[in-house]
Amino acid sequence: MIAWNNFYVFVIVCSFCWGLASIFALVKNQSTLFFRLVIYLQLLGIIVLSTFIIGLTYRLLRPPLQTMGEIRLWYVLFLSLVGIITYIRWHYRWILIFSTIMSIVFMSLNILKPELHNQNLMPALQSVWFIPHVIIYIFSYSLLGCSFIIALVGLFKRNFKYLNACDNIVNTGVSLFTIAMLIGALWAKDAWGHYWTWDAKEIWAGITWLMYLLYIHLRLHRYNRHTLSYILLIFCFLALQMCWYGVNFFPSLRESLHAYV
Amino acid sequence: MNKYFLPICKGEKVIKFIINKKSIITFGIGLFLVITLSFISINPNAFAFPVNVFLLMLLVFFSVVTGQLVERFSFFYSSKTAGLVSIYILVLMIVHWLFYHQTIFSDTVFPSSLYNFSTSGLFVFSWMFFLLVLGAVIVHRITTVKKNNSLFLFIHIGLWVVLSAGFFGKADEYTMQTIVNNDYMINQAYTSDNQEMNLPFSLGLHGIQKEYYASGEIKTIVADLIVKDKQKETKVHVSVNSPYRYKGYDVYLMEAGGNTSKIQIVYDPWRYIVLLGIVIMLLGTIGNFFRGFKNQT
Repeated sequence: MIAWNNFYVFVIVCSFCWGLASIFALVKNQSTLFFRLVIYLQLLGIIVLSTFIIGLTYRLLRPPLQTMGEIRLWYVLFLSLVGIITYIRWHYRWILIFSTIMSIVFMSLNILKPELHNQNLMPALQSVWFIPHVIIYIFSYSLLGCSFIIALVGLFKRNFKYLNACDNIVNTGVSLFTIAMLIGALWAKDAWGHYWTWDAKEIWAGITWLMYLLYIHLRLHRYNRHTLSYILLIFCFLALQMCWYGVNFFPSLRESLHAYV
Repeated sequence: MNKYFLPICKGEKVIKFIINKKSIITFGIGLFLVITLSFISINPNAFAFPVNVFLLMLLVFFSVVTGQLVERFSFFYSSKTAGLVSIYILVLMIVHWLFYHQTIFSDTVFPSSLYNFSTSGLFVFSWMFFLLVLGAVIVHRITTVKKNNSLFLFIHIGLWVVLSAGFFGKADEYTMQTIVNNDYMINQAYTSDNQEMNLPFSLGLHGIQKEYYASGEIKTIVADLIVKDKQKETKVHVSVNSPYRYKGYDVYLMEAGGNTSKIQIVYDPWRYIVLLGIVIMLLGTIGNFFRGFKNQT
């Protein structure tokens, strides 16, 4: 039976597949065979993790989207998916190393600090908006996390050609972020009576959204500000971390309507 | 040697900009405005209909004027302005978050914007200024650019509708709470500042249904309410995420226990205009998602 106590087996298999894929991806002058092998290994890891998520859904009798530990699962899944898509589309050989390291860190956190305290879905989360809101948010977080990795590499290597990939990934990520935020507003109206309540979590979502919009507008109108674009992208990601879990560590969340996340 | 041929490093440029007389005056006026507006507290209901509609029309008028007179008011649609406005709003939002519900500043010399940001003059001014800039950008795009406009207009008009209807609609919105029980019908509710409001219908409680998980945690709570309008009585179910709508009022279940329930009633006549804005923005964002990033330079 798939459950948290055998999660480590899935972690080992996923880490092995993704680790091997990352090493093969680093090989210079890859043949088609190597290129395909990287894709198949990465996809195998994704299938293994998806199997765990499906199994956990059956076990919990609800989608695993409630605790931070469960959300991390989706983050890892989407991050590895975004990693392989970026690898196929732009042929960045190093992207899989970063997505794998981040995935292993997040999965290890789940093993070392599992948040399994609540298996039941509370009434506030029983809504048709719940799954699209969370899934789309986490997918956008993964994309924006990927753009952060690319920005770091670009800034470190002083190479501005990566900004094109950043633009595409950020545009997709921010579109999804906006959709998730608007879905959240519709849900909030149904649950609390207001589309926006200036809640701590909402304020940081607004700050993150504005910062990414600033990046998009900077790239649209001041195309040659390369270093500034990379630095802004790094700060955007920091704001995203604040929105995602940073606010949980501050007293303002005690009064927050999002206190259960 | 001609002074224009002297090499000027970036640091010197920054220092020159800072000590520039014009910059000092602009900064001084800005700071004065921010401090003054922080001390002004605005009652949102002071803008209630028809004042809000008049202000909205005035805002549209000035946006059109500003957007069309592009040569004279280029400041309003430049990317520099968009950047500055965004940074300004970001700073304000962070300040708001830092002092969120920190009522230790209440009734002191500290400006109201620190603890009740959304009713401060600073907030109202910033919001109106942002709407003016956004409106001018939209008008400029419609009248001058005239190409590749559809997605841009969907996203920006949607955002403008959401922000303006949300802002001006707040003046007509009332959020009230009341306790209903089995014994009698009630048609009064109270706002957060304890103002008594009369509802056009009466509410009573018929019963509460609770369902539990095997672990003992609560699964669902449903309050069966009786809504009485004149002589007509209707039984309705209200639960979390599932409010009851009647005569423009939304009835939400807040708490339920014993034979009483805490009910929240929201009267928001602008709700569908905000919803329209959200739908327009959603369509634009979905379109943008499929189109991908297109650099305009």
